[in-house]
Amino acid sequence: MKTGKKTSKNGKLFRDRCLIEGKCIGFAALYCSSARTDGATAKGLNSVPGNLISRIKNSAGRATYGAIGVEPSLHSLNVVQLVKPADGAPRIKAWASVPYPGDRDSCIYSVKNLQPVVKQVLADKRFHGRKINTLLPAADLKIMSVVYELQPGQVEAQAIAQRVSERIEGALQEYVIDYLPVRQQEGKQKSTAIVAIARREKIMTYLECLRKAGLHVESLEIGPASIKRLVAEMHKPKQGETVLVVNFGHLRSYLSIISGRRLLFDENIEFGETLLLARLEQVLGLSGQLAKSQIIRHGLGEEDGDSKAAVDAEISSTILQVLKPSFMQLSENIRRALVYAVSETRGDPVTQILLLGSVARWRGAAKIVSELLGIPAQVITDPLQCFRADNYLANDLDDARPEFALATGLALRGLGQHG
Amino acid sequence: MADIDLIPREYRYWLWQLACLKTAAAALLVLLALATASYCYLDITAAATKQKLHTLQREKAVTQQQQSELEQLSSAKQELARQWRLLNGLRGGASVESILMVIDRALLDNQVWFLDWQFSRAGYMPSTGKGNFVIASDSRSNNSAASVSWDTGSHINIKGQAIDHAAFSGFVQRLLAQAEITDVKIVRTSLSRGSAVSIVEFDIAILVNSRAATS
Repeated sequence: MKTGKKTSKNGKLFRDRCLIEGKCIGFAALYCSSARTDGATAKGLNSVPGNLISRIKNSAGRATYGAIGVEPSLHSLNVVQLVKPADGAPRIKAWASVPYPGDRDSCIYSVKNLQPVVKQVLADKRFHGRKINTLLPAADLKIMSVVYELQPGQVEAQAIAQRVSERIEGALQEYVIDYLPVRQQEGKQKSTAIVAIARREKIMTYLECLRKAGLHVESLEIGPASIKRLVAEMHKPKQGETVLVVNFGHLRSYLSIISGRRLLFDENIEFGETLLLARLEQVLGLSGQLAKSQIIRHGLGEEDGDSKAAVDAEISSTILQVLKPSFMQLSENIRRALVYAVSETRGDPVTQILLLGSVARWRGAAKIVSELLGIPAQVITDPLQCFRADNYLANDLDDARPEFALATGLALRGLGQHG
Repeated sequence: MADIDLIPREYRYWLWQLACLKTAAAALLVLLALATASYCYLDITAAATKQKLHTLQREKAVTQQQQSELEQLSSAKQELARQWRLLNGLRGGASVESILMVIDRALLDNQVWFLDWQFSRAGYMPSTGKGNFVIASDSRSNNSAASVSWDTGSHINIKGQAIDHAAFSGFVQRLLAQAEITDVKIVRTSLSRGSAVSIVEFDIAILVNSRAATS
């Protein structure tokens, strides 16, 4: 009875407020992304003229400036902008990483604190325009896979909203929800979608802070979609190839399974650079800074042929021994994701693991992951690598900048072949 | 392939409304600025035109005043000239005795005699034509010059009688032949018939040339 009542309530909610039919404006921005046919309606009011202008620019043979990708990472605002020549691939226009004056939440949710940071970013005259693609911090966003079943006369959005309402606290209208259909089982009513949910209040605060800081938000998306776009552009997966992307953060890491151009799965796990350094500090008594420098210097279980080597290898091996349980726990989580991927792709296994983020920079990390899972692992050390201009920024980009992965993916929206 | 986008639809709509409002406000401001500029321009132009008009009106008023003054002055000049001529006429001129002597020279025998006479320094030309007496005068008797002289010149009106028209005519001819006489106007002649004789009664006006008479 309780479920029935909820269904009825949610059904009414959708009739009143759902966007999918393009008839009314509601509290929940719940609409289908890939399966919908009313694309122009669902994309929003600014998208159509934006596309038109973009087409006119392209037809005129001019370079297209993409929206600036803005990622509010844990310690800094990472910003990347790409430009696409009329007859070429996207190239870097500008990038910046501006640290927050305080903690992230007090900065990005406060106009007063965000304005100076944005001002500092835009002081770099290489940035063109004020349009941005951004995302919410992972902590304020919930991404879940939802299996739903369409009842007779029920549209997809209604079914998803019904399932989501059972898994969230509070009323549905307190949230903004969007989803991406993953799979529809042939002959069966059950389907799967990746659903992104965020508190409406947080979203509105963030959007207003950005607006008052002088930026025009083109899209507010999720990290996995950005990663998917970046991987598609850099890795160029073959048709039907399934890859697992592990994006290492400071406190949490994010597993995303991408099949072709589809995002199949996304999950975050408790694994990150800060946690690993804390473990080293706990076991070996090294400070976090020192531990990190030792890892950067010696790597994880790396053995050089020569050496002074013996001492280095011993340190490296010791670090690995301390951190190996954490990596094994990571591999267990990854294994579960791999099983899910196989089920979703009807038996097609994950053929490649791509590592991004801070831990990916540690020498030997890819090797450990590869050994633990038995799947080749590759590190994307520099997400800006393949967007370097031939004669531009060459000196500036000598150092790898893994922190720009999400911002680059965001900047690719609307520019890349897969964007 | 479309991606997830968490911007609420109504927020986009609100932004669109805001953009429209800003555009409208900007357009309004531009219109307002244009209207203000136009108003100022027209105001300045109108003020300039008004000032120009005022200047022209003032100039016109000055011209009219000058014209009026000129007319008044012309009229005053004419009046003064007339008075000057009159005064000239009054100021100079021959004495009554000399004029009577001149007239006396024109009298022969006792065929013409005077009943009354009157001397004037200036006056109007007496009206003529009462009677049927015509005297052919010489070139001195110019109408326009004489009429001017009659206004200001000294003249003497004589009322008298003659034994016949021939005697009267001879008298007038002799008067006109003298340099001291400018003109003679016959004011009236009539034939008075008595029981035995008839006589000619006449009124004449003699215009005296004062300069000749005094020299």
